[in-house]
Amino acid sequence: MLDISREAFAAWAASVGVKGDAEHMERLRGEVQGMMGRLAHLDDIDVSEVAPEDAGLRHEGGVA
Amino acid sequence: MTSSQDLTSLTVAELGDRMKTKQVSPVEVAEAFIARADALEPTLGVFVTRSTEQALAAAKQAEAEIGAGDYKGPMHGIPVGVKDIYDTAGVRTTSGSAVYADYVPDRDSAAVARLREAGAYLIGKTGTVEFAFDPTGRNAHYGMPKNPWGLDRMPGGSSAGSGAGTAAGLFPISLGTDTGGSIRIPSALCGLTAIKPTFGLTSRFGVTPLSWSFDTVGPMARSAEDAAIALNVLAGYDPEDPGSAHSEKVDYTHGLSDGVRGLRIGVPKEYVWDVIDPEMQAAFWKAMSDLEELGAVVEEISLPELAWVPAIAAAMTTVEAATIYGDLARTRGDELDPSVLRRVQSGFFISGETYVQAARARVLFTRRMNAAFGSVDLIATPTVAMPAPPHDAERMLVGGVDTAVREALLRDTRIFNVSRLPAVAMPTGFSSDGLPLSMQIAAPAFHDALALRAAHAYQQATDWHRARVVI
Repeated sequence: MLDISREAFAAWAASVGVKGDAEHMERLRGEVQGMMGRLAHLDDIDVSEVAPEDAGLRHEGGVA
Repeated sequence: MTSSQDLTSLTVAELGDRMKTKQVSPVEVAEAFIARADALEPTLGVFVTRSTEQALAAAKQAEAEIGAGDYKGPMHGIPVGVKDIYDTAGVRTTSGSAVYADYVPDRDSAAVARLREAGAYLIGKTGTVEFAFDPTGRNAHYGMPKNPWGLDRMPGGSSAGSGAGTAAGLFPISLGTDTGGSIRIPSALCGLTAIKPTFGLTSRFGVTPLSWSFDTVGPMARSAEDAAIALNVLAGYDPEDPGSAHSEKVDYTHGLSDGVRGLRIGVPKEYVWDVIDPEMQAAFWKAMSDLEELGAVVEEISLPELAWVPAIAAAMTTVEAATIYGDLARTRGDELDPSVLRRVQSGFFISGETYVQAARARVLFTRRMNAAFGSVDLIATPTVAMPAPPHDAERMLVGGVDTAVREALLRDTRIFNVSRLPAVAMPTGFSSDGLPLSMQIAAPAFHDALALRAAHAYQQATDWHRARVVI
Protein backbone atom coordinates (compact mmCIF):
# COMPACT_ATOMS: atom_id res chain seq x y z
CA MET A 1 0.00 0.00 0.00
CA LEU A 2 1.19 3.48 -0.85
CA ASP A 3 2.46 5.31 2.26
CA ILE A 4 1.20 8.85 2.69
CA SER A 5 2.32 10.49 5.91
CA ARG A 6 -0.27 12.13 8.14
CA GLU A 7 1.28 15.52 7.51
CA ALA A 8 1.34 15.08 3.75
CA PHE A 9 -2.21 13.80 3.76
CA ALA A 10 -3.44 16.68 5.90
CA ALA A 11 -1.95 19.18 3.45
CA TRP A 12 -3.35 17.30 0.45
CA ALA A 13 -6.79 17.07 2.08
CA ALA A 14 -6.79 20.78 2.83
CA SER A 15 -5.92 21.54 -0.79
CA VAL A 16 -9.02 19.65 -2.02
CA GLY A 17 -11.27 21.09 0.68
CA VAL A 18 -11.64 18.01 2.87
CA LYS A 19 -11.76 18.34 6.61
CA GLY A 20 -13.03 16.29 9.51
CA ASP A 21 -12.21 15.00 12.96
CA ALA A 22 -9.03 13.05 13.58
CA GLU A 23 -10.68 9.64 13.39
CA HIS A 24 -12.42 10.43 10.11
CA MET A 25 -9.26 11.83 8.57
CA GLU A 26 -7.24 8.81 9.64
CA ARG A 27 -9.75 6.39 8.10
CA LEU A 28 -9.90 8.52 4.97
CA ARG A 29 -6.12 8.49 4.78
CA GLY A 30 -6.16 4.68 4.84
CA GLU A 31 -8.82 4.58 2.16
CA VAL A 32 -7.00 7.03 -0.10
CA GLN A 33 -3.72 5.17 0.36
CA GLY A 34 -5.35 1.91 -0.68
CA MET A 35 -7.04 3.53 -3.66
CA MET A 36 -3.89 5.27 -4.84
CA GLY A 37 -2.06 1.96 -4.65
CA ARG A 38 -4.64 0.41 -6.96
CA LEU A 39 -4.68 3.36 -9.34
CA ALA A 40 -0.90 3.23 -9.71
CA HIS A 41 -1.43 0.25 -12.03
CA LEU A 42 -3.05 2.59 -14.55
CA ASP A 43 0.34 4.08 -15.31
CA ASP A 44 1.51 0.68 -16.59
CA ILE A 45 -1.15 0.56 -19.31
CA ASP A 46 -0.06 1.75 -22.73
CA VAL A 47 -3.12 3.65 -23.93
CA SER A 48 -1.41 5.31 -26.90
CA GLU A 49 -3.75 3.63 -29.38
CA VAL A 50 -6.73 5.45 -27.80
CA ALA A 51 -6.78 9.20 -28.34
CA PRO A 52 -8.02 11.13 -25.30
CA GLU A 53 -10.93 12.49 -27.32
CA ASP A 54 -12.01 8.92 -28.07
CA ALA A 55 -12.34 8.07 -24.39
CA GLY A 56 -15.74 9.61 -23.87
CA LEU A 57 -19.17 8.06 -23.37
CA ARG A 58 -19.80 5.91 -26.38
CA HIS A 59 -20.25 2.27 -27.21
CA GLU A 60 -17.37 0.21 -28.52
CA GLY A 61 -18.34 -2.59 -30.84
CA GLY A 62 -22.04 -2.66 -30.05
CA VAL A 63 -24.86 -2.25 -32.51
CA ALA A 64 -26.12 0.96 -30.93
CA MET B 1 -56.14 -24.68 -5.08
CA THR B 2 -52.75 -23.14 -4.44
CA SER B 3 -51.79 -22.18 -0.89
CA SER B 4 -50.35 -18.76 -0.02
CA GLN B 5 -46.99 -20.35 0.74
CA ASP B 6 -47.00 -22.01 -2.67
CA LEU B 7 -47.81 -18.76 -4.45
CA THR B 8 -44.84 -16.97 -2.92
CA SER B 9 -42.50 -19.70 -4.10
CA LEU B 10 -43.57 -19.44 -7.75
CA THR B 11 -41.74 -17.64 -10.54
CA VAL B 12 -43.18 -14.73 -12.48
CA ALA B 13 -43.79 -17.04 -15.43
CA GLU B 14 -45.69 -19.49 -13.23
CA LEU B 15 -47.72 -16.77 -11.49
CA GLY B 16 -48.47 -15.08 -14.81
CA ASP B 17 -49.71 -18.31 -16.32
CA ARG B 18 -51.97 -19.00 -13.33
CA MET B 19 -53.41 -15.48 -13.43
CA LYS B 20 -53.89 -15.53 -17.20
CA THR B 21 -55.81 -18.81 -16.97
CA LYS B 22 -57.67 -17.55 -13.88
CA GLN B 23 -56.48 -20.40 -11.66
CA VAL B 24 -55.52 -17.70 -9.20
CA SER B 25 -56.51 -14.07 -8.93
CA PRO B 26 -54.12 -11.08 -8.75
CA VAL B 27 -55.63 -10.17 -5.38
CA GLU B 28 -54.81 -13.63 -4.01
CA VAL B 29 -51.27 -13.19 -5.29
CA ALA B 30 -50.94 -9.78 -3.66
CA GLU B 31 -52.36 -11.01 -0.37
CA ALA B 32 -50.00 -13.98 -0.32
CA PHE B 33 -46.89 -11.83 -0.79
CA ILE B 34 -48.12 -9.18 1.65
CA ALA B 35 -48.78 -11.84 4.28
CA ARG B 36 -45.31 -13.29 3.80
CA ALA B 37 -43.80 -9.82 4.07
CA ASP B 38 -45.80 -9.18 7.25
CA ALA B 39 -44.37 -12.36 8.72
CA LEU B 40 -40.75 -12.00 7.64
CA GLU B 41 -40.04 -8.28 7.45
CA PRO B 42 -39.34 -7.97 11.19
CA THR B 43 -36.63 -10.60 10.79
CA LEU B 44 -35.17 -9.59 7.43
CA GLY B 45 -35.52 -5.80 7.26
CA VAL B 46 -35.93 -5.82 3.48
CA PHE B 47 -38.05 -2.69 3.05
CA VAL B 48 -37.43 0.99 3.58
CA THR B 49 -41.04 1.79 2.73
CA ARG B 50 -43.90 -0.62 2.12
CA SER B 51 -46.79 0.33 -0.15
CA THR B 52 -49.33 -2.29 0.85
CA GLU B 53 -52.49 -0.27 0.20
CA GLN B 54 -51.30 0.82 -3.24
CA ALA B 55 -50.34 -2.78 -4.00
CA LEU B 56 -53.76 -4.10 -3.09
CA ALA B 57 -55.46 -1.40 -5.15
CA ALA B 58 -53.25 -2.24 -8.14
CA ALA B 59 -53.97 -5.95 -7.71
CA LYS B 60 -57.72 -5.26 -7.73
CA GLN B 61 -57.30 -3.22 -10.90
CA ALA B 62 -55.30 -6.06 -12.50
CA GLU B 63 -58.01 -8.50 -11.47
CA ALA B 64 -60.68 -6.37 -13.14
CA GLU B 65 -58.59 -5.96 -16.30
CA ILE B 66 -57.80 -9.64 -16.64
CA GLY B 67 -61.42 -10.51 -15.84
CA ALA B 68 -62.51 -8.20 -18.66
CA GLY B 69 -60.16 -9.93 -21.10
CA ASP B 70 -57.54 -7.16 -21.09
CA TYR B 71 -54.51 -9.34 -20.27
CA LYS B 72 -51.33 -7.33 -20.76
CA GLY B 73 -48.75 -10.09 -20.55
CA PRO B 74 -46.77 -12.08 -18.02
CA MET B 75 -45.97 -9.10 -15.76
CA HIS B 76 -49.67 -8.30 -15.36
CA GLY B 77 -50.62 -8.59 -11.69
CA ILE B 78 -47.03 -9.17 -10.54
CA PRO B 79 -45.82 -7.40 -7.35
CA VAL B 80 -42.33 -5.93 -7.70
CA GLY B 81 -39.85 -4.88 -5.04
CA VAL B 82 -38.12 -1.71 -6.18
CA LYS B 83 -34.71 -0.57 -4.99
CA ASP B 84 -35.11 2.67 -3.11
CA ILE B 85 -33.16 4.71 -5.63
CA TYR B 86 -35.90 4.49 -8.28
CA ASP B 87 -38.33 7.40 -8.23
CA THR B 88 -41.86 6.20 -7.49
CA ALA B 89 -44.70 8.68 -7.80
CA GLY B 90 -46.26 9.31 -4.41
CA VAL B 91 -43.96 6.90 -2.56
CA ARG B 92 -40.83 8.27 -0.92
CA THR B 93 -37.45 7.58 -2.45
CA THR B 94 -34.69 7.93 0.12
CA SER B 95 -31.74 6.69 -1.98
CA GLY B 96 -30.71 5.06 1.28
CA SER B 97 -29.85 8.49 2.64
CA ALA B 98 -31.09 10.44 5.65
CA VAL B 99 -30.77 13.56 3.51
CA TYR B 100 -33.62 12.35 1.30
CA ALA B 101 -35.68 10.66 4.02
CA ASP B 102 -38.76 12.73 3.14
CA TYR B 103 -38.34 13.02 -0.63
CA VAL B 104 -41.53 11.96 -2.41
CA PRO B 105 -41.24 12.09 -6.22
CA ASP B 106 -44.23 13.19 -8.25
CA ARG B 107 -43.23 11.09 -11.22
CA ASP B 108 -42.16 7.48 -11.74
CA SER B 109 -38.73 6.54 -13.00
CA ALA B 110 -38.85 5.19 -16.55
CA ALA B 111 -38.38 1.59 -15.41
CA VAL B 112 -41.19 1.76 -12.86
CA ALA B 113 -43.46 3.46 -15.40
CA ARG B 114 -42.78 0.69 -17.91
CA LEU B 115 -43.54 -1.97 -15.31
CA ARG B 116 -46.82 -0.28 -14.41
CA GLU B 117 -47.77 -0.09 -18.11
CA ALA B 118 -47.19 -3.84 -18.26
CA GLY B 119 -49.62 -4.32 -15.37
CA ALA B 120 -47.06 -4.90 -12.61
CA TYR B 121 -47.15 -2.91 -9.38
CA LEU B 122 -44.95 -1.72 -6.54
CA ILE B 123 -45.13 -3.71 -3.32
CA GLY B 124 -42.44 -1.71 -1.54
CA LYS B 125 -39.15 0.15 -1.73
CA THR B 126 -36.22 -2.05 -0.86
CA GLY B 127 -33.13 -1.30 1.18
CA THR B 128 -30.01 -0.04 -0.53
CA VAL B 129 -26.61 1.24 0.40
CA GLU B 130 -26.67 5.06 0.51
CA PHE B 131 -26.46 6.24 -3.12
CA ALA B 132 -25.78 2.58 -4.03
CA PHE B 133 -22.11 3.11 -3.20
CA ASP B 134 -20.97 -0.21 -1.68
CA PRO B 135 -21.25 -3.94 -2.47
CA THR B 136 -21.92 -5.22 1.05
CA GLY B 137 -25.46 -3.97 1.65
CA ARG B 138 -24.61 -1.93 4.74
CA ASN B 139 -26.58 1.20 5.52
CA ALA B 140 -26.01 3.32 8.63
CA HIS B 141 -29.43 4.98 8.37
CA TYR B 142 -31.88 2.21 7.52
CA GLY B 143 -29.94 -0.92 8.45
CA MET B 144 -28.64 -3.78 6.36
CA PRO B 145 -31.21 -6.34 5.18
CA LYS B 146 -30.42 -9.86 6.34
CA ASN B 147 -29.48 -12.61 3.94
CA PRO B 148 -32.30 -15.18 4.19
CA TRP B 149 -29.83 -18.03 3.53
CA GLY B 150 -27.83 -17.06 6.60
CA LEU B 151 -29.16 -14.38 8.91
CA ASP B 152 -25.66 -13.59 10.14
CA ARG B 153 -24.44 -13.07 6.55
CA MET B 154 -24.45 -9.97 4.40
CA PRO B 155 -26.97 -9.95 1.55
CA GLY B 156 -24.61 -8.16 -0.80
CA GLY B 157 -25.29 -4.80 -2.31
CA SER B 158 -25.96 -2.31 -3.16
CA SER B 159 -29.39 -3.74 -4.17
CA ALA B 160 -29.52 -5.52 -0.82
CA GLY B 161 -33.25 -5.46 -0.08
CA SER B 162 -34.12 -6.49 -3.62
CA GLY B 163 -31.82 -9.49 -3.28
CA ALA B 164 -32.94 -10.56 0.19
CA GLY B 165 -36.62 -9.93 -0.52
CA THR B 166 -36.74 -11.83 -3.80
CA ALA B 167 -34.87 -14.75 -2.26
CA ALA B 168 -37.20 -14.85 0.75
CA GLY B 169 -40.35 -14.70 -1.37
CA LEU B 170 -41.53 -11.25 -0.24
CA PHE B 171 -41.97 -10.52 -3.95
CA PRO B 172 -41.22 -12.70 -6.99
CA ILE B 173 -39.02 -10.19 -8.79
CA SER B 174 -37.35 -6.88 -8.10
CA LEU B 175 -35.46 -3.99 -9.62
CA GLY B 176 -31.81 -3.36 -8.87
CA THR B 177 -29.09 -1.23 -10.36
CA ASP B 178 -25.56 -2.28 -11.25
CA THR B 179 -22.60 0.10 -11.29
CA GLY B 180 -19.88 -2.33 -10.21
CA GLY B 181 -21.98 -5.41 -9.56
CA SER B 182 -24.89 -4.17 -7.46
CA ILE B 183 -27.44 -6.38 -9.23
CA ARG B 184 -25.24 -9.47 -9.55
CA ILE B 185 -23.52 -9.41 -6.14
CA PRO B 186 -26.71 -9.60 -4.02
CA SER B 187 -28.14 -12.04 -6.55
CA ALA B 188 -25.08 -14.25 -6.13
CA LEU B 189 -25.12 -14.04 -2.34
CA CYS B 190 -28.89 -14.62 -2.14
CA GLY B 191 -29.23 -17.34 -4.82
CA LEU B 192 -31.01 -15.36 -7.53
CA THR B 193 -30.83 -15.11 -11.31
CA ALA B 194 -30.36 -11.60 -12.63
CA ILE B 195 -29.10 -9.68 -15.60
CA LYS B 196 -26.99 -6.58 -15.78
CA PRO B 197 -28.06 -5.55 -19.26
CA THR B 198 -25.80 -3.96 -21.83
CA PHE B 199 -25.09 -0.36 -20.82
CA GLY B 200 -27.67 1.82 -22.55
CA LEU B 201 -30.27 -0.90 -23.11
CA THR B 202 -32.46 0.10 -20.14
CA SER B 203 -33.39 3.63 -19.13
CA ARG B 204 -31.97 5.20 -15.98
CA PHE B 205 -34.32 8.15 -16.08
CA GLY B 206 -35.55 8.86 -12.55
CA VAL B 207 -32.90 6.65 -10.91
CA THR B 208 -30.53 8.23 -8.40
CA PRO B 209 -27.13 8.28 -10.11
CA LEU B 210 -23.83 7.07 -8.77
CA SER B 211 -21.58 6.92 -11.84
CA TRP B 212 -23.03 8.03 -15.16
CA SER B 213 -20.80 5.94 -17.37
CA PHE B 214 -21.42 2.72 -15.39
CA ASP B 215 -24.94 2.84 -13.88
CA THR B 216 -27.25 0.19 -15.35
CA VAL B 217 -30.85 -0.75 -14.57
CA GLY B 218 -32.00 -4.38 -14.50
CA PRO B 219 -34.20 -7.08 -12.95
CA MET B 220 -33.38 -9.50 -10.14
CA ALA B 221 -35.36 -12.71 -10.45
CA ARG B 222 -35.63 -16.38 -9.64
CA SER B 223 -34.97 -17.69 -13.13
CA ALA B 224 -33.49 -16.66 -16.44
CA GLU B 225 -36.97 -16.88 -17.93
CA ASP B 226 -38.27 -14.31 -15.41
CA ALA B 227 -35.32 -12.03 -16.10
CA ALA B 228 -36.13 -12.24 -19.82
CA ILE B 229 -39.79 -11.46 -19.19
CA ALA B 230 -38.85 -8.38 -17.19
CA LEU B 231 -36.23 -7.25 -19.69
CA ASN B 232 -38.89 -7.31 -22.40
CA VAL B 233 -40.62 -4.58 -20.42
CA LEU B 234 -37.56 -2.62 -19.34
CA ALA B 235 -35.47 -2.53 -22.53
CA GLY B 236 -35.82 0.23 -25.07
CA TYR B 237 -34.58 3.67 -26.04
CA ASP B 238 -35.47 6.58 -23.77
CA PRO B 239 -34.59 10.13 -24.85
CA GLU B 240 -34.70 11.19 -21.19
CA ASP B 241 -31.60 9.09 -20.43
CA PRO B 242 -28.51 10.55 -22.18
CA GLY B 243 -26.83 7.12 -22.04
CA SER B 244 -29.77 5.33 -23.66
CA ALA B 245 -29.01 3.48 -26.88
CA HIS B 246 -31.09 3.13 -30.04
CA SER B 247 -31.00 -0.64 -29.78
CA GLU B 248 -32.89 -3.11 -31.91
CA LYS B 249 -36.22 -4.25 -30.41
CA VAL B 250 -35.78 -7.81 -29.17
CA ASP B 251 -38.12 -10.35 -27.58
CA TYR B 252 -35.87 -11.75 -24.85
CA THR B 253 -38.12 -14.77 -24.33
CA HIS B 254 -37.97 -15.72 -28.00
CA GLY B 255 -35.29 -18.34 -28.56
CA LEU B 256 -34.80 -18.77 -24.84
CA SER B 257 -35.16 -22.53 -25.26
CA ASP B 258 -32.78 -22.85 -28.22
CA GLY B 259 -30.13 -24.42 -25.99
CA VAL B 260 -26.36 -24.10 -26.03
CA ARG B 261 -25.38 -26.81 -28.50
CA GLY B 262 -22.43 -25.56 -30.49
CA LEU B 263 -22.00 -22.35 -28.49
CA ARG B 264 -18.41 -21.63 -27.50
CA ILE B 265 -17.97 -20.48 -23.90
CA GLY B 266 -14.67 -18.85 -23.01
CA VAL B 267 -13.31 -19.00 -19.47
CA PRO B 268 -10.50 -16.54 -18.71
CA LYS B 269 -7.42 -18.25 -17.39
CA GLU B 270 -6.08 -15.13 -15.64
CA TYR B 271 -7.17 -12.85 -12.78
CA VAL B 272 -10.43 -14.55 -11.76
CA TRP B 273 -8.60 -17.42 -10.07
CA ASP B 274 -6.19 -15.26 -8.06
CA VAL B 275 -8.84 -14.74 -5.37
CA ILE B 276 -11.44 -17.53 -5.32
CA ASP B 277 -13.15 -19.68 -2.73
CA PRO B 278 -12.57 -23.39 -3.48
CA GLU B 279 -16.27 -24.29 -3.28
CA MET B 280 -17.18 -21.40 -5.60
CA GLN B 281 -14.51 -22.58 -8.02
CA ALA B 282 -15.61 -26.21 -7.90
CA ALA B 283 -19.25 -25.28 -8.49
CA PHE B 284 -18.22 -23.12 -11.45
CA TRP B 285 -16.34 -25.95 -13.16
CA LYS B 286 -19.20 -28.35 -12.46
CA ALA B 287 -21.50 -25.86 -14.19
CA MET B 288 -19.12 -25.69 -17.16
CA SER B 289 -19.20 -29.49 -17.28
CA ASP B 290 -23.01 -29.39 -17.22
CA LEU B 291 -23.01 -26.94 -20.12
CA GLU B 292 -20.62 -29.17 -22.05
CA GLU B 293 -23.02 -32.05 -21.57
CA LEU B 294 -25.68 -29.84 -23.12
CA GLY B 295 -23.48 -29.40 -26.19
CA ALA B 296 -21.55 -26.21 -25.44
CA VAL B 297 -17.83 -26.05 -26.09
CA VAL B 298 -15.95 -24.69 -23.08
CA GLU B 299 -12.45 -23.39 -23.67
CA GLU B 300 -9.90 -21.34 -21.81
CA ILE B 301 -9.16 -17.91 -23.18
CA SER B 302 -6.38 -15.50 -22.34
CA LEU B 303 -7.39 -12.04 -21.13
CA PRO B 304 -4.44 -10.61 -19.20
CA GLU B 305 -6.08 -7.18 -19.43
CA LEU B 306 -8.54 -8.30 -16.74
CA ALA B 307 -5.91 -7.14 -14.26
CA TRP B 308 -6.71 -3.57 -15.31
CA VAL B 309 -10.31 -3.77 -14.12
CA PRO B 310 -10.02 -2.72 -10.45
CA ALA B 311 -8.02 0.40 -11.28
CA ILE B 312 -10.21 1.50 -14.19
CA ALA B 313 -13.42 0.96 -12.24
CA ALA B 314 -12.14 2.58 -9.05
CA ALA B 315 -10.80 5.68 -10.80
CA MET B 316 -13.86 6.32 -12.93
CA THR B 317 -16.68 5.47 -10.54
CA THR B 318 -15.07 7.30 -7.61
CA VAL B 319 -14.49 10.49 -9.61
CA GLU B 320 -17.99 10.37 -11.10
CA ALA B 321 -19.53 9.80 -7.66
CA ALA B 322 -17.49 12.68 -6.23
CA THR B 323 -18.70 14.88 -9.07
CA ILE B 324 -22.32 14.02 -8.27
CA TYR B 325 -22.12 14.06 -4.47
CA GLY B 326 -19.18 16.40 -3.85
CA ASP B 327 -21.32 19.39 -2.92
CA LEU B 328 -23.41 17.26 -0.57
CA ALA B 329 -20.26 15.87 1.04
CA ARG B 330 -18.93 19.38 1.59
CA THR B 331 -22.14 20.93 2.90
CA ARG B 332 -23.98 18.08 4.66
CA GLY B 333 -21.28 15.48 5.12
CA ASP B 334 -22.22 14.93 8.74
CA GLU B 335 -25.60 13.60 7.58
CA LEU B 336 -24.09 10.94 5.31
CA ASP B 337 -23.08 7.41 6.24
CA PRO B 338 -19.44 7.95 7.29
CA SER B 339 -18.17 5.17 5.03
CA VAL B 340 -20.04 6.59 2.03
CA LEU B 341 -18.76 10.08 2.86
CA ARG B 342 -15.19 8.76 2.81
CA ARG B 343 -15.75 7.04 -0.50
CA VAL B 344 -17.12 10.23 -2.05
CA GLN B 345 -14.28 12.28 -0.60
CA SER B 346 -11.74 9.81 -2.00
CA GLY B 347 -12.72 11.05 -5.44
CA PHE B 348 -11.40 14.52 -4.61
CA PHE B 349 -7.89 13.08 -4.51
CA ILE B 350 -7.93 11.60 -8.04
CA SER B 351 -6.49 13.88 -10.71
CA GLY B 352 -8.15 14.68 -14.00
CA GLU B 353 -5.21 13.10 -15.76
CA THR B 354 -5.79 9.83 -13.90
CA TYR B 355 -9.49 9.86 -14.80
CA VAL B 356 -8.70 10.30 -18.50
CA GLN B 357 -6.01 7.62 -18.34
CA ALA B 358 -8.64 5.27 -16.87
CA ALA B 359 -11.16 6.25 -19.54
CA ARG B 360 -8.64 5.54 -22.29
CA ALA B 361 -7.72 2.23 -20.68
CA ARG B 362 -11.42 1.41 -20.52
CA VAL B 363 -11.78 1.85 -24.28
CA LEU B 364 -8.75 -0.36 -24.81
CA PHE B 365 -10.10 -2.96 -22.40
CA THR B 366 -13.47 -2.97 -24.16
CA ARG B 367 -11.74 -3.52 -27.49
CA ARG B 368 -9.88 -6.50 -26.02
CA MET B 369 -13.12 -7.95 -24.67
CA ASN B 370 -14.89 -7.43 -27.98
CA ALA B 371 -11.95 -9.10 -29.73
CA ALA B 372 -12.29 -12.09 -27.41
CA PHE B 373 -15.79 -12.55 -28.77
CA GLY B 374 -14.20 -13.24 -32.13
CA SER B 375 -13.29 -16.71 -30.90
CA VAL B 376 -16.07 -17.43 -28.39
CA ASP B 377 -19.79 -16.67 -28.16
CA LEU B 378 -19.94 -16.19 -24.40
CA ILE B 379 -17.57 -15.56 -21.50
CA ALA B 380 -18.17 -17.18 -18.10
CA THR B 381 -16.67 -16.58 -14.66
CA PRO B 382 -17.80 -17.02 -11.08
CA THR B 383 -20.00 -14.02 -10.18
CA VAL B 384 -18.23 -13.32 -6.90
CA ALA B 385 -15.09 -14.72 -5.30
CA MET B 386 -16.82 -16.22 -2.27
CA PRO B 387 -20.23 -17.01 -0.75
CA ALA B 388 -21.91 -14.46 1.53
CA PRO B 389 -19.41 -13.23 4.14
CA PRO B 390 -20.37 -12.58 7.79
CA HIS B 391 -22.38 -9.37 7.97
CA ASP B 392 -19.64 -7.39 9.73
CA ALA B 393 -16.62 -8.75 7.84
CA GLU B 394 -14.14 -6.20 6.51
CA ARG B 395 -11.37 -8.60 5.50
CA MET B 396 -11.33 -12.37 5.11
CA LEU B 397 -9.31 -15.22 3.73
CA VAL B 398 -10.60 -16.22 0.31
CA GLY B 399 -8.89 -19.29 -1.06
CA GLY B 400 -6.00 -18.58 1.30
CA VAL B 401 -5.65 -14.95 0.21
CA ASP B 402 -6.20 -12.21 2.80
CA THR B 403 -8.44 -9.75 1.00
CA ALA B 404 -10.77 -6.82 1.64
CA VAL B 405 -14.34 -8.10 1.43
CA ARG B 406 -15.42 -5.10 -0.66
CA GLU B 407 -12.76 -5.71 -3.30
CA ALA B 408 -13.39 -9.46 -3.33
CA LEU B 409 -17.08 -8.90 -3.98
CA LEU B 410 -16.46 -6.46 -6.83
CA ARG B 411 -13.48 -7.96 -8.62
CA ASP B 412 -15.33 -10.25 -11.05
CA THR B 413 -18.58 -8.35 -11.58
CA ARG B 414 -16.74 -5.15 -12.52
CA ILE B 415 -15.29 -6.85 -15.60
CA PHE B 416 -18.60 -6.39 -17.36
CA ASN B 417 -19.27 -2.90 -16.01
CA VAL B 418 -15.97 -1.64 -17.37
CA SER B 419 -16.70 -3.30 -20.73
CA ARG B 420 -20.42 -2.38 -20.60
CA LEU B 421 -21.36 -5.93 -21.62
CA PRO B 422 -24.47 -7.87 -20.56
CA ALA B 423 -23.95 -10.49 -17.86
CA VAL B 424 -26.39 -12.94 -16.28
CA ALA B 425 -25.71 -14.19 -12.75
CA MET B 426 -27.23 -17.51 -11.72
CA PRO B 427 -26.93 -19.99 -8.85
CA THR B 428 -24.61 -22.98 -9.26
CA GLY B 429 -25.12 -24.76 -5.95
CA PHE B 430 -24.55 -24.32 -2.24
CA SER B 431 -21.49 -24.15 -0.03
CA SER B 432 -20.98 -26.58 2.85
CA ASP B 433 -22.46 -23.79 5.02
CA GLY B 434 -25.64 -23.79 2.94
CA LEU B 435 -24.87 -20.50 1.19
CA PRO B 436 -25.59 -19.93 -2.51
CA LEU B 437 -22.81 -20.18 -5.10
CA SER B 438 -23.02 -18.38 -8.43
CA MET B 439 -21.58 -17.89 -11.89
CA GLN B 440 -22.07 -15.18 -14.51
CA ILE B 441 -22.29 -15.60 -18.27
CA ALA B 442 -21.59 -12.58 -20.46
CA ALA B 443 -22.32 -11.94 -24.12
CA PRO B 444 -21.33 -9.33 -26.70
CA ALA B 445 -22.93 -5.89 -26.39
CA PHE B 446 -26.67 -5.95 -27.07
CA HIS B 447 -26.67 -9.74 -27.25
CA ASP B 448 -28.35 -9.95 -23.85
CA ALA B 449 -30.72 -12.57 -25.25
CA LEU B 450 -27.81 -14.93 -25.88
CA ALA B 451 -26.63 -14.74 -22.27
CA LEU B 452 -30.19 -15.36 -21.07
CA ARG B 453 -30.52 -18.31 -23.46
CA ALA B 454 -27.40 -19.94 -22.03
CA ALA B 455 -28.62 -19.33 -18.48
CA HIS B 456 -32.02 -20.81 -19.32
CA ALA B 457 -30.42 -23.88 -20.88
CA TYR B 458 -28.39 -24.40 -17.71
CA GLN B 459 -31.50 -23.99 -15.58
CA GLN B 460 -33.44 -26.52 -17.64
CA ALA B 461 -30.78 -29.08 -16.72
CA THR B 462 -30.25 -28.09 -13.06
CA ASP B 463 -32.41 -27.23 -10.07
CA TRP B 464 -30.29 -24.74 -8.14
CA HIS B 465 -32.52 -21.80 -9.10
CA ARG B 466 -35.57 -23.66 -7.79
CA ALA B 467 -34.23 -23.90 -4.23
CA ARG B 468 -36.37 -21.87 -1.82
CA VAL B 469 -35.13 -20.76 1.55
CA VAL B 470 -36.94 -21.92 4.69
CA ILE B 471 -37.03 -19.25 7.41
